[in-house]
Amino acid sequence: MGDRQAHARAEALKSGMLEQTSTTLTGPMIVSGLILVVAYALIFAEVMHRMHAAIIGAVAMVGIGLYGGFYTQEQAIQAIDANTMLLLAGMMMMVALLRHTGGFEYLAIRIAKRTASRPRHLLLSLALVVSVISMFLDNVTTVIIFAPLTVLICRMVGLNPMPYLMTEAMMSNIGGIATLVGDPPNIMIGSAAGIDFNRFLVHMGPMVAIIWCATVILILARFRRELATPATFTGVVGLDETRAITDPRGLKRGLAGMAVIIALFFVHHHLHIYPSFATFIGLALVLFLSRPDPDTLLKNVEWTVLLFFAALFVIVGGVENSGLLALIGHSLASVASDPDLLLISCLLLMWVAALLSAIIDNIPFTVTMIPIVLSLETSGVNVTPMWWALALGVGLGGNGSHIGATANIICVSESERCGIPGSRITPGLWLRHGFPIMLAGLVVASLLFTLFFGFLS
Amino acid sequence: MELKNVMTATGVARSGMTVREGFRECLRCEVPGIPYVDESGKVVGRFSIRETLRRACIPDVMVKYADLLGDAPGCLVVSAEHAPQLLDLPLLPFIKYEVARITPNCAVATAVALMERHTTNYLFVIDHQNRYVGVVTVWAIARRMLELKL
Repeated sequence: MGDRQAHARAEALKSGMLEQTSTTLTGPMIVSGLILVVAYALIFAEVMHRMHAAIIGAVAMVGIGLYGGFYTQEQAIQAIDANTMLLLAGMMMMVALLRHTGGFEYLAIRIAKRTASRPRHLLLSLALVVSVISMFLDNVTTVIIFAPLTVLICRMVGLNPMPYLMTEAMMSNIGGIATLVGDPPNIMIGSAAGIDFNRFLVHMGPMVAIIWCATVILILARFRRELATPATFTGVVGLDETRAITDPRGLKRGLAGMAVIIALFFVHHHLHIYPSFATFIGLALVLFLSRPDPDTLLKNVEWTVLLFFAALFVIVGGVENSGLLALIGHSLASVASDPDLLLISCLLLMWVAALLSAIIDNIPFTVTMIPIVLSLETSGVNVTPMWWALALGVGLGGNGSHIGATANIICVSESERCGIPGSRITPGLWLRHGFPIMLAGLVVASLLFTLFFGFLS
Repeated sequence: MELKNVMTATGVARSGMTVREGFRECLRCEVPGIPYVDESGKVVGRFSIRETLRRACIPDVMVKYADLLGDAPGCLVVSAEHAPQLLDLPLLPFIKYEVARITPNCAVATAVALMERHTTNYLFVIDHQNRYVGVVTVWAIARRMLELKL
């Protein structure tokens, strides 16, 4: 649901223009809830591609909603958050334009050459770069680019790539929490809650920075054996970064576009433009300067991800229209509306979100929680800290298991592909190292959340 | 120009042979690869020098970033001391089970088109009874063209 719609709905409810929420389970609620559960079960069980499962669920929801009279086709279309969809599509195209230029590879090689003589410095540098890039670009793409290069660099200098791959995955997840555009859940939360880029950065940035530092310290401690200098260590990175940039003009144009986008993110609220429009302004500039082949450009947009999101919005929109999410929200309102219990409610939300995100896809969870939190708002609850708690939880939870985030899966695949003994990241290995690191991150986040609760409210 | 005039008869690779024997046969016949046959003599794969070196010595990640490699690939280099170990290995793990093939009566132009389609420099000539006849390479075609011109 777009933020404009969310606020309009909240205002309408407050003024009594909409029907009051049912306090008992109705037929549409049960049916829509069942469709949601079945669709999510299909998605998480991976019996088919998640996009297929989501589309089937969406079609079922609209069909049954039409028959049951609780969900129209217009409502289904309105349920799709266009700001989220367009922002994701725009950034995917920007990444596609930048990726082929070799700029990321150049950066990785330069960093490696400066720091490869000291394994710990190499880890810190790669962690920092991946985190910063993930604040603005998609985590998955960042890791797709950096992971194989990391393996190559580690093999060249004689290091075990395992701790570097795990660190990159975890740090890209953490870095993405800091900004409005760093993670799809953040984009959805910002869109629904009407949170602008600056406000998101001011509230999440400092916390994420502290969590980042704590996580790095823990990683250095847990992987101290793997990070010790081995006998085969050469410290020499035999890569020529000058050959990495294959399209210097394209890189300059792409970076110019990104600079415009990031600058507009900082002022989009004052200009009264959506972040998605800001993205397309920068994209339009690059398209004007570069004139890339449209087919090649569009081939790099992850349409399966976009359609998956759209279908999820339709499914959850149906559940919302049935009144089920409002019922859940109102039943929680009695607890959350108590100012003394609000902090505990937020921490509970953070931890539940994190633990669930470690085992299941955090996108469906976020899409489902957003209307529940919005319905709490209509009940008079101050939900501002809940948004931060939700963003922290779904972001940090991704580090808990090897399937907690797509970035993790990519790094695990790279570790298997490299074929170096002792470098394979098994599910057990991730659980042994990643889960405690996730817990530590959550503990730090909880402490900071409690400490700065007033500011976050 | 007919296919039979540009074809080279070679030995075949079988289970139990070593990489050394496979390399020797390829170099003797001056071809990049030879067919791999099963117990019944049917061609089911190919043994090639390039594929063997790639799988044995070159990590995939090195291929992906080959353009970026400098003069000193560091620990990626397989030292010359390991070469005898590779040659004594059985060739079965290095067999590729995709075979680009052509029948003896096809035109040379068809052979060139198939090479382009399969991104390869050689094809195995296999008759309709699925019997291996020989190898056609792009170099043999070029050599024949020069002979014809003369």
